Amino acid sequence: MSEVGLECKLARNYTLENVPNALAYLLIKVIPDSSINFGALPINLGLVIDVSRSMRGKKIECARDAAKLVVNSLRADDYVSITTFSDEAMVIVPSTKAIEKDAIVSSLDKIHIISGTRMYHGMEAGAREMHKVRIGSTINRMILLTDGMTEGEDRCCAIAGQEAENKVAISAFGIGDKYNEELLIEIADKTLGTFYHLRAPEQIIEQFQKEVGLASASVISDVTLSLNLVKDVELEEMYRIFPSSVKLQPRVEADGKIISVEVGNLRKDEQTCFGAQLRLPARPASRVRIAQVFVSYNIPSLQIEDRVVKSDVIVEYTSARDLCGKVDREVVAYFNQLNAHKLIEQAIKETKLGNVSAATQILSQAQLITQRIGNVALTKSIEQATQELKEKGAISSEAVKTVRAGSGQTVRVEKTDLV
Amino acid sequence: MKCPHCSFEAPEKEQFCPNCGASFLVTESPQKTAALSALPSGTILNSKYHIEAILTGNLVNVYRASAQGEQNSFVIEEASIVRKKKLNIITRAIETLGHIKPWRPDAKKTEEKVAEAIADHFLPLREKFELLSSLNSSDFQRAHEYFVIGNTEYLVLENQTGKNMLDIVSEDLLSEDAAIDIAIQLCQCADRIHRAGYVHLNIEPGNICLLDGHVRLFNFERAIKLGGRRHEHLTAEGYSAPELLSDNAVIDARADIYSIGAVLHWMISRQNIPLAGASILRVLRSVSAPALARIIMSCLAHDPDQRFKTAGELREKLATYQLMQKRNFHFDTACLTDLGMIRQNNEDACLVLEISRSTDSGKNSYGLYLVADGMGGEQAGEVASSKAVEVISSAVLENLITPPDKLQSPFELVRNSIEKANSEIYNMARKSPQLSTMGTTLTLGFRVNNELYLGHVGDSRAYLIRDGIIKQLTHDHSVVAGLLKAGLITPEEARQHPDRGKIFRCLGSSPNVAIDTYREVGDEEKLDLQHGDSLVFCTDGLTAHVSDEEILAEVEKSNGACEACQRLIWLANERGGTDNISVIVAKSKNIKR
Repeated sequence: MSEVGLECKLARNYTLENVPNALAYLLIKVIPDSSINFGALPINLGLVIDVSRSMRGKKIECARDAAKLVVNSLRADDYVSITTFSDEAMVIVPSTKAIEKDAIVSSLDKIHIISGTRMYHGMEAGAREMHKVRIGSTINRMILLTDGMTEGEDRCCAIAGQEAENKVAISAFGIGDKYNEELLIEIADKTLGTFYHLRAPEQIIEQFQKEVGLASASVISDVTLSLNLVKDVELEEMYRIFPSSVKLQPRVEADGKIISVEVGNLRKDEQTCFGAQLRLPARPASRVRIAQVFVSYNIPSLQIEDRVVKSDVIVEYTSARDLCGKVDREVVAYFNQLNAHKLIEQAIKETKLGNVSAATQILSQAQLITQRIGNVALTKSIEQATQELKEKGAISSEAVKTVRAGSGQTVRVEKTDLV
Repeated sequence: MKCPHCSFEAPEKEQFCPNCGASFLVTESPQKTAALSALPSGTILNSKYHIEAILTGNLVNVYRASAQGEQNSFVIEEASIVRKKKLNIITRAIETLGHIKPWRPDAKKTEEKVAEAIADHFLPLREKFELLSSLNSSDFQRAHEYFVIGNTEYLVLENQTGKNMLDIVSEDLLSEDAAIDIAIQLCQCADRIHRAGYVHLNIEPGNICLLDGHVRLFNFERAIKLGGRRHEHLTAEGYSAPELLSDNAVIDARADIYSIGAVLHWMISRQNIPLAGASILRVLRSVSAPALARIIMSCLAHDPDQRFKTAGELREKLATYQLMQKRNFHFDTACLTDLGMIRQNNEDACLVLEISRSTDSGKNSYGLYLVADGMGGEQAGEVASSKAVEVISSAVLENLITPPDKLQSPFELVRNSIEKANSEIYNMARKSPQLSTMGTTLTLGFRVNNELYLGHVGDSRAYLIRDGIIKQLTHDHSVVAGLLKAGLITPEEARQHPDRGKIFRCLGSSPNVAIDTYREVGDEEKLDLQHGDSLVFCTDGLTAHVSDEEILAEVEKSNGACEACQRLIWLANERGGTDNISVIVAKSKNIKR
């Protein structure tokens, strides 16, 4: 019995015989065994905080309070470093074990506002601190907070790329409506982190704590998802769908058959869902194993290394159209969340081009999907964006950031909701 | 172990081929998966039908069969009438289909529940027979016979005839016009099904056939009563309305409207509607006009309330769009007149006008094509021909800006304007001795969108070129034409005949004139133009030297109307240019549709 269960389901188990290029939607669920005590892993936390002039006042106060609360919630074997950035980066707390919390907390009072925003300095210095103490079995999470546009966006993305290699996930927090959410989304996606949009400074406190809580639950580490596709089956796209959506960039292994992607650390208290969109070749009526899915992982807290679970994905080619018509609504519901995300991006693009009616129509489609799935928060923010669009012919920067952040946060589909 | 599918050598323990994925277990034949034990091939059913093969086996077995004396084959569906002893078999079959709701055979009213479960998958055979019989039309799959043998019911259906849409579109993309024609017919089919109180729920290319351009709809197994609910979620990827995946939604006609929109989009673009729904950009890119994209998007709205309410409403929209597209003509037009090689003055007059007018009610395009060949010596000929052109063009232009309630019909406008021109020329001739013998031929084409109205007096001509064939749209009012019509001379002799210039009808010679319209050649008031048509109007200075076939060839090989006019005049002059030559060429531009 493995610690992690693997469930692979297709949207349709049957496909019409002899039809080429049929699309198949594959849902891969990685489910931790809830009866197992997974223990805990030390966190290697890097706080990287914007201290440019626009952060003055409530924002920086809340950021300081949030950092203090986070430090206080860490365990003695966790590591923490605190870096601020404006024109330059300043390491306020070099990477250290979270033992002398009072000293760490008091150094937070040294945070001062300075003009300029060069986020890459902060990211580089923050990452350097994290690398100093990183040991093989820590959860590496950088929390990056900014409220403005930065110079050197390309450099920020390059650093995110490097940190993805170093297995540091960056959770990017944007506050207000002046920052570039596209940059923060890219940074988060590249490192398999999460993007958050904060409307008010008070949210920093709550969201930082939540993020550290989620990070500390991510004890299943170095998870790699591999697909062994049989001849003529092609992978078109691959995503992490739940708990948040990210487009994955799988690589083809040397033998050309196996496609793998590293998906970072997974939580012990929640299932993680992945989605693969496949193209199937034409085949006569028969039972075909189109793919084998392998998930390999470590659980350092249980001294488990390189454990692999696998599952077959089987399709029945048939002439019976009634069988082909049957869909698994759980799979469809998960993929529909990706679709809602794509629709929102498309609507934002249309709005920028001035196609208000097209954008409104696309948003209403997205809203219908999120409503059906029961994503209340996202439905509400789409509603607000649509309202703005109808009244003013445009969506405010604030609303764009809210729907974008919301569309990345998917919801769990309960089977009971579907019956 | 060698894979029977790809010949890959696989280790013994493998259940599936590691290379191609084929199962090494013997695939179960439809007979084995059938809920009912299937009839073997060769069985004679109901003393009439010869079972040839089982096509699929599940809750309902489907056979291909033939009957003596019948040319076409049949499809026979076989289902068990629910009896207690059949219960277990059916329960198993339902389980294989993965029925979502827990179902216990020991519950009360078991038989009804089983019947409900079957109805969740299929329209019961008797109900299907009754529905197809009531529809009783060549638009739908024919139901031949329903009968019961013991505990088993049978429905004999027509096998698919005609060409399947999947095959048609896989060979070549349909033109937008042809795709809309099919969608309009699908709307008519859907409308009839809805009026019968059902929704088809399975309108997808595989279930549509074309027989001599006529749409036929098959496979009614997923049909349900209007306003019904289905607990099983059977959908066709890319064609089924999203509400079919929802338990709470009541299914009505709008689900079929979604499917028709998806089929129309597929016929034009070969693209299915993805799970995320249609995007306006994607649809816009695949059609020729935003108006059609809007219609398709209205069909494909996620929310049924945003779709067309009835198939009739969708049909109306498509028909109106199609009509507007047919009317939307763009002509490349040119007009040229030449003295010829002999004459000292040019008595011909010609004029071309192309006008577009956009109003709230839509865009209209008009074309006016006039050639006149004056006669009467001295300068009188050109006075008559110019006057005819002036009077008629003024009348037509005036009519275009007249309030709609006082508008003359195009047919009347053509006749009235020619009569007006005749009486003005006649009065001028009476008042002035120098002009007393003047007169003119006149050939007039007035185009309103795709409709051409003709007015004609004399021996100038109008031609239509369509699909590589040239057709004269006017009869010459000349002596020679009479001889030719009587078979006394050949066309070649007519062109050389000494009396070839003599006409018996012209404008200006009498107070009243008999005017030919399109009725004289086509039995109708107007000619319906098609995309790709060309029109040629000319005076006899051209036709005296250039045959109809040569006109056709010159027009077809020319790059544009202007070049065609130049080529024709050059050819007439090369052969003598005995008279003034006037030519109008109007070529309909081919629009990608």
